[in-house]
Amino acid sequence: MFRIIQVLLISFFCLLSSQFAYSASVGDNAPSFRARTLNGAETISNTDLEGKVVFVDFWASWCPPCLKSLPEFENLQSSFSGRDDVVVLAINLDENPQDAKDFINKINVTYKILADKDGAIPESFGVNAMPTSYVIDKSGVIRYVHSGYKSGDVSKIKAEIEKLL
Amino acid sequence: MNKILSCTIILLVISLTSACTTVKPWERGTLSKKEMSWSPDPLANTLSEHIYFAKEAAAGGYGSAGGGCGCN
Repeated sequence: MFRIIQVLLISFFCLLSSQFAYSASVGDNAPSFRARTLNGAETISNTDLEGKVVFVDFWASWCPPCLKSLPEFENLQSSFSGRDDVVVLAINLDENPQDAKDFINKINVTYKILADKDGAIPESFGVNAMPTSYVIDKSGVIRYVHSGYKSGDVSKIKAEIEKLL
Repeated sequence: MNKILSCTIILLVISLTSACTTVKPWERGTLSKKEMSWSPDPLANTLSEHIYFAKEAAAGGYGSAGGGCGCN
């Protein structure tokens, strides 16, 4: 009888612990991902980016700081335009990708934008705020996590990328 | 002993019937819509918060609306 109670208590605490989800942090290997671009033209996975420093940003059209950050990431992209070992990626998480397309059409963005309306990729990264961005080094390890966004934050991100080159 | 067992089982079943779930950050698109806010007019809300703050000399749990004097 005592054993049954023990098992029940353990399962109860296991159930409670399931509330605390994993969140990828500095030093962790970046989770693998694969998604189509917002326009559906191309599929990109993490294996395509091996040996490159990857900046990946999770955003949605309903998130005001995300909308502020996207044009500034274009400056980030252009500052590394001469290098083929730096990739800037944005992953859109809108349930309706058309909302993202409407916004993207208003701004000049040349970096790749992936669409993940089911939220599988942020789930695997354990994104806990919008927007959240990650700098991943050439060996696939997360080296910097940036949550939220305010004007000028791009310079911090740029400095983190430069450290890895 | 039976009482302890039944209490444990009841506790376990109650925890399973919980209707609460965590809304993930990327699932807040609907919640962020204007019609989902407590006050659909942000400007009117800012104004009334500022009046409340000035009259009561206390800010509620909604942030405070300053007058631009840098004194808040």
